[in-house]
Amino acid sequence: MKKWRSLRTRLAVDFALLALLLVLVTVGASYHAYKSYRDFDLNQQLSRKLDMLRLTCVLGADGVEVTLPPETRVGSRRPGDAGQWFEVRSDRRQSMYRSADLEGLPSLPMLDGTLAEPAYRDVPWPDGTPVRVAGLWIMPPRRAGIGGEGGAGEEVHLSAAVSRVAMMANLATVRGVIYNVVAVTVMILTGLGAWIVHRALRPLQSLSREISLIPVDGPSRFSVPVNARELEPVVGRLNDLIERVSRALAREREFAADAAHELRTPLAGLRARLELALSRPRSDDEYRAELRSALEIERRLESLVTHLLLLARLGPDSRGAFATKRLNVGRLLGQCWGEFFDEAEERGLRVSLRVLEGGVELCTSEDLFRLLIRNLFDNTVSYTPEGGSIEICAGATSRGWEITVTNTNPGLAEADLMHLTKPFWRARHEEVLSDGRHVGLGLALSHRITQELGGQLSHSLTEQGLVRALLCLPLSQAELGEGEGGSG
Amino acid sequence: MRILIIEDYCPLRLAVAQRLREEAYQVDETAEGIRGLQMARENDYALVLLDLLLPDADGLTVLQDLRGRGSDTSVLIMTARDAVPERVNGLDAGADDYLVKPFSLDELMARVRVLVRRRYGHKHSLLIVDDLEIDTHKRVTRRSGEPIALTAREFALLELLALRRGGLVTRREIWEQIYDLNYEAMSNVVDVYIAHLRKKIERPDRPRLIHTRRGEGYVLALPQETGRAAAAPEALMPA
Repeated sequence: MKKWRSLRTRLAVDFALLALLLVLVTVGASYHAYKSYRDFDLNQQLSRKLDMLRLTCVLGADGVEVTLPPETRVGSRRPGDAGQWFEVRSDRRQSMYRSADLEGLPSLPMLDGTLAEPAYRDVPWPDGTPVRVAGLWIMPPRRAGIGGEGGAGEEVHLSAAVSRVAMMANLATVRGVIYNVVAVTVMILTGLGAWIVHRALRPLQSLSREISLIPVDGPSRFSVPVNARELEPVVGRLNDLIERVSRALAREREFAADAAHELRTPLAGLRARLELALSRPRSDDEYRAELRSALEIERRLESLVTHLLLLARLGPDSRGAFATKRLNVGRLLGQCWGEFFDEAEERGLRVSLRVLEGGVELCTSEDLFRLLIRNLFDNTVSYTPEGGSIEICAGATSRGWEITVTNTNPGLAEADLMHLTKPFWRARHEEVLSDGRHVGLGLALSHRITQELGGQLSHSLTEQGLVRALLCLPLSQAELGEGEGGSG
Repeated sequence: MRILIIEDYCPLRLAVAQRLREEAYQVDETAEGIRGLQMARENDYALVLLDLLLPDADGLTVLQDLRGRGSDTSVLIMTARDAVPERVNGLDAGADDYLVKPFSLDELMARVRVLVRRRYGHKHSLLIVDDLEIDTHKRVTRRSGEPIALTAREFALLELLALRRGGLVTRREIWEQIYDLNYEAMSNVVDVYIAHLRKKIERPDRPRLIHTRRGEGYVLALPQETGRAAAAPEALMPA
C-alpha cells in the first residue's frame, strides 16, 4: 500500500493514463477517418451505380426505358458480387424498373436526393444483411425520334443499394487490429513511462537516500545530484537549514553542558563540605562554619535554577507572554538602586546617580524591567573594585529610554566585552564567588530580557578604560517628545 | 605528600584541601589554570587535582602543557564534564584518572592514595618492610603486630619513606612533600621528625629500618638491603 503512495508510482500511473488517453484519441481519430473514408467510398460506389442507371434511363414512347449492361442482369454477376439492386420509380411511386436481384425483396426506400447530392441511408434487408441505399430524382432525356419538345419529361426516382457487409467486416478487422495495437502501445508506453519516471526521479532518490543517511548527532552537507540543477535551491536550502540546526544544537549542547557544569560544581562543593563535616567529630564552631558554607552553596544553586528557568522561559516564543503596564521609570530606578546602596557604601564605592526623568513612563513588563535593572546594578556593585567609582545616567533620548552604567574596570579587556552576555562566561581574573548571587547568568539574562523588551544592551570601554553598559529601550511616539526634562 | 589543587570553585577547593590536609597531605591550591601550571612546574607534586573549566585557561591545555614539559606528576581530573568523549580526551591528554563531579570525598581520597602509590610502583595499600606494616588506607601502623600511634605528619613521613623503600629520600624531598611551602624554619625539623619516628617504630630486638645517609637524606629498608646499597660509593650511616 505504501509503495502505491510513492511519487514514482503516482507519476508512472499518471504517465500511463496520459499515454492511454493520447493513444485512444489518436487511434480513435484515425479509425474515424478510416471509417469516413470507407463510407465515402461506399457512397462513391452508389453514386457511380446511380450515374450508370441515370445514363441508361431514357424516356421512350411508353415511358421510361432502362437498358442496363448485361453484367447487371440475373445470373451474370461476378463471383462474390453481393447483388445489383436498382429500382426506377415514377413520381407516383410506381415501379418502372427493378433489377433482377431485387426479386423477393421489398422496395428500396425512396430518398429525396438530387443529381448533385444524392441521399443515402443504411437499412437492413429482411434477412439482416446491412445495405446502404442511395436515391435521387432525375428528369430522363427523351429517346431520339420521340415526338415532343426536347429536354426533360416527367421526373423519375432512381434508387440503388450496395451491401455493407464487406465494409463492416473490414472495419471490424481494423478495430481488432486497433485494439491490439492500443494494448501493446499502452503497455510499451507504460513501461517507457516507468523507466523515464525512474530516471527522472533518480536525483531525488539519491538526495532522499543522502538525507536518510545523515548522522543524527553530527553535521552534514548535501551535494546537488548529477544532472539535477532543479534541485540546487532545495539542496542549498537544506544545507542552510542543517547548518542552522547544527549551530543551534551545538549552542544548546554547550548551554546544557555549561548548565550541568554550573549545577554539578556547587553540588560537588555541597557534598564535599557535608562529607568533610561528617568525616570526624568537630567542634560546634566548625559545624556551624560548614553549615554556613552549605547554606551559601544552596543559595547559589537556588539562584542558578531560578536564572536557568527564567532563561528557558525567555525563548523566541515568549514575546508578549509577560504582562505590560505603564511604569514610572524614575521611581523604579530609585527603588532598584536602594537595594544596592548599602553594599556600595560598604565597599567604599563612589556613586553618581543622575536620572533625566521628565515624567518618562515606559509601557513594559515591570517584573522584567526590575530584573534587568537589578542585574545591571548588581554586576556593577559586585565587580567594581573596592574604592572604585560608579556613574549611572538615565533618561529619554531620541533613540529611546537609555541608561548608562559606567564603573571602574575590574580587569576586563576589549576582547572580553563580547563574551559578557554569554551564559556562564567568567573573566580571567574572576573566581567563582560563593555568595550565591553570581552564577554567570546575570548578563545573559539581561541580554535576553532586553531582547524581550525590544531594546539593546551593549558594553564598551571608555577612553579612560572604564567599563560602560548601555541599555536602550524603545519609547512610544507620544513619549519621545517628552524625553528631555529636569534632572533628579 | 604534596598535592596541588587547581579548582576555581572556592567551596569545593577548600573542602578538598581541608580533607587532604586532615589526611596529612601537604596541599597547595589555586583557582587559576595558569598559576597552577606555574606552580606545577616549580614544585615536585605527588599529584595534581585539576578542574577542566577554569576562568583563565582550559584544564586540558594546562594538562597538555604540563606533559609537554616532560612532567610525570600524576594528574587527576575532577570535572562536571561526564561525556565519554570528554573522559577519553582527558585521559588521552595525559591524565592518570578522571572523576566526575559531584563525587564522594572518600572516593577522591581513595583515588589519591592509588595515584600516589602508583607513582612509587606500589599496587597495594598495605606497605610492609620486615615486620613493619603501614596501612595507607586505614592510616594504621604496626610493628611486630603492635599498633604504633603516629601523628598525621609522622605517618606521612613514614609513608613517603615506605613508598620509596630502599631508595634515598633527600631532606629536600621530605621538606617539599611533607611541609608547607611557606615554612621557614627548615634547618633541622626533618631530622627532629625522623628522630620521633625512629623512637616510635624501632625495636631493640628487631632490625633497624630507618637509616641515615649523612648530608643527604634517609632510607627505609632492612639492614641487608642497606648493605647492598652500601656497596655503592656512598655508605649508609646510622644517625
